[in-house]
Amino acid sequence: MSRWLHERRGGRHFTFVVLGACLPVILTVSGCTTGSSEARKDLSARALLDFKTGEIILPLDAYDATTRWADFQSLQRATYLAVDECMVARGQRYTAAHIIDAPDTNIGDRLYGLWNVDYVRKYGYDSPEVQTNIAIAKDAEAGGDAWGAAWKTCYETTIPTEIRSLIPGLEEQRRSLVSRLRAEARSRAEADPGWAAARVPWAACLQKAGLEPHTDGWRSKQAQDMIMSENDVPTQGTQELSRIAYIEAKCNVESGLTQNLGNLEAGYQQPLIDANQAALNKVKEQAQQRLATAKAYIATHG
Amino acid sequence: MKATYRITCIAAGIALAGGLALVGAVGANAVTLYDHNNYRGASYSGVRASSLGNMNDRASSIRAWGAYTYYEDAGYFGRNIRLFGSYNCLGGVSSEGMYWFESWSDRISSFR
Repeated sequence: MSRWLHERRGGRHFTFVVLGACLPVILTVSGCTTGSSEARKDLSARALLDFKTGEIILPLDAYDATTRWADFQSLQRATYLAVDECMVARGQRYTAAHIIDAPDTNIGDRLYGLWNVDYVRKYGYDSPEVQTNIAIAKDAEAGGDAWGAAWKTCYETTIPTEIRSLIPGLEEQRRSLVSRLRAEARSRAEADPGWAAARVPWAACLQKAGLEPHTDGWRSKQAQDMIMSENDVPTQGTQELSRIAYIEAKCNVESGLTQNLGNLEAGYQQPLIDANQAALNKVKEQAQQRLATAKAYIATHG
Repeated sequence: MKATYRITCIAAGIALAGGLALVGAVGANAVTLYDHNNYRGASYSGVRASSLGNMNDRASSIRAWGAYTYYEDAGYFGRNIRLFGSYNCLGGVSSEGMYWFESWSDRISSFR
């Protein structure tokens, strides 16, 4: 959770108090065994901005199977196929299992605002519909409550255990070493003077283009107001919002906002990786096993 | 606030363990986000949402029939979590990119 978000949402200052007290569990994660809050930074670490997929790839991403869109698609499809097989046996349909979403439905990462200019030029703040989501909605509507009951039975009790566990649940994500290290690196990056400094040229660029940087987050106030005023209406990209999105993305790239903040996070992730390499290698093996299981299942059931 | 969430979530867990969970009505939407735990209170349903409008930062439970990505800010901004299926209590959850003991309850502002 970024510092600005804590301030905005209030009531979470307790978290910082706890962090400041350097809880033993945090110490374990950070290796801060002396009680020092000094954080090491690897200046050579970089975030990779993949303009094809829109993803911001950080060093820790190599250690889980859910961060990269393509990997997650494999986990998702295998799970959907297993559910569909069970649903069909119960006279229902789960057609999402047989739909492969096009790569451009991947919206990428907007951790630090819009930055993928080509994508934004095409879609503005929005993106194409996710066809699997639409298929699920249609099947659910057609099948009614019987469909919902069948889905629940299939997912919770019938599909193979190794498939049900492909997509990590809430608790697993909460407890994962990768998640904890990511959070620790993010916390350290936010405390780095470079974090606030990165906003300066980005904000100046927006102002030069006639936009007002929102006080928290990585968009203009104008875009924020438009998005929030939509109230339940999906963004379909009004001309003005598309124009603003393009300016925001251009300013993001010109000021190096996403690259700089990504580098900062990468710089704090790398020493944590080094300090936890043995444990992370095991985590990576498990992630690769998940992917292998998913791909094998798709190959035989897809 | 945090303490309240925890207590409510524990209670919900007991209820579910006792077999009181219901499947719930299935509609023409892939996802429904609810203001309170256990799929209660004000809700927002859709296939996706760039903004949840007046449900921004309010959802405490989710009913879903597939895998979705939930974002902490409108416009699919900020950190996200990919989840499959329904969760009756987001309060016990935290995820990548945020302090690991924090919660996704009252945090989601967009999903797809």
